[in-house]
Amino acid sequence: MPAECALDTDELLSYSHKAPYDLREWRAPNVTPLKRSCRDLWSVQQLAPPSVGNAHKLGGRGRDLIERRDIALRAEIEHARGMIGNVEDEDVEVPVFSEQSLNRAIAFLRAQSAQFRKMFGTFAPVPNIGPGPSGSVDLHWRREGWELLVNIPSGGSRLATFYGDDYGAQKIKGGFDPTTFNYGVIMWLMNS
Amino acid sequence: MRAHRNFLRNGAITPNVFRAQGEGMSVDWSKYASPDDTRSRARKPLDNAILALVAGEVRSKTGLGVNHTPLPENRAHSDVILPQDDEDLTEARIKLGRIATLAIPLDS
Repeated sequence: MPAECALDTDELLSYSHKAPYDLREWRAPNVTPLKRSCRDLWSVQQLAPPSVGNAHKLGGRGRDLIERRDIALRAEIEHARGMIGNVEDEDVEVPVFSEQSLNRAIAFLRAQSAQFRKMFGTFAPVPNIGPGPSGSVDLHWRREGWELLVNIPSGGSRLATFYGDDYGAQKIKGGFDPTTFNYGVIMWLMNS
Repeated sequence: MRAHRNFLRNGAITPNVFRAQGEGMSVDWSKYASPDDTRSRARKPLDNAILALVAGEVRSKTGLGVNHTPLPENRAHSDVILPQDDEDLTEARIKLGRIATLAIPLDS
């Protein structure tokens, strides 16, 4: 193997230690289902911004840094908070979504964004946050080359769902617990 | 179909507008109703845009059913049958957003 490739490998392995899981595990022939499930069950609370649950780890300075830098995400969240009072149907005045539902969606989004930044060194693209069916919250990314919709349900016990494609053959679809990370979603966002 | 301003984004179509009301997503068949007719049935017409969907495209590109379900007060009433499964519904809404066009935009 050429020396420069070895250096690249070392750099990759060095970076992998900063990731929430060790990338080398994929090379090991004896990866157990338990290891994979541990990776999948990485909790939102572990990587979410301080307001979600790890303030004691980052402290005020780190929190300020994240909040200040991700201005676009903050603006979108503020826009979404302004929709809380909107009604779905003027006749029965059902709210488009509750504050609790929106907070769940924001926690998920912030955590995905923080994880994206940790993995790729840049901020994740910011979605449009809007009202989904039955009091749920939609996170919608529409780009020139791809589109992704994540729906965070109104009920805490229900699975979030997602669908995305590149307007062609590639697509991603499924459901996940919105209090855990979904690496499929993160990898899809990397297309931006 | 009507789309209330609460579900549009800067007047543009988003997946948010596609939602079931009862049996399916209520739409009007253009054979029996103009976009203006559909808009005038809203409680606050000016708060609603009117979207156009071609039934054949809905069937072929999303796999959803479109049924004519006339009401006594609205002969044009029809339903787009949305999936019951949440994952399929998310897929259907994103695809409906691609084939829908604005027949009457907001603020017009």
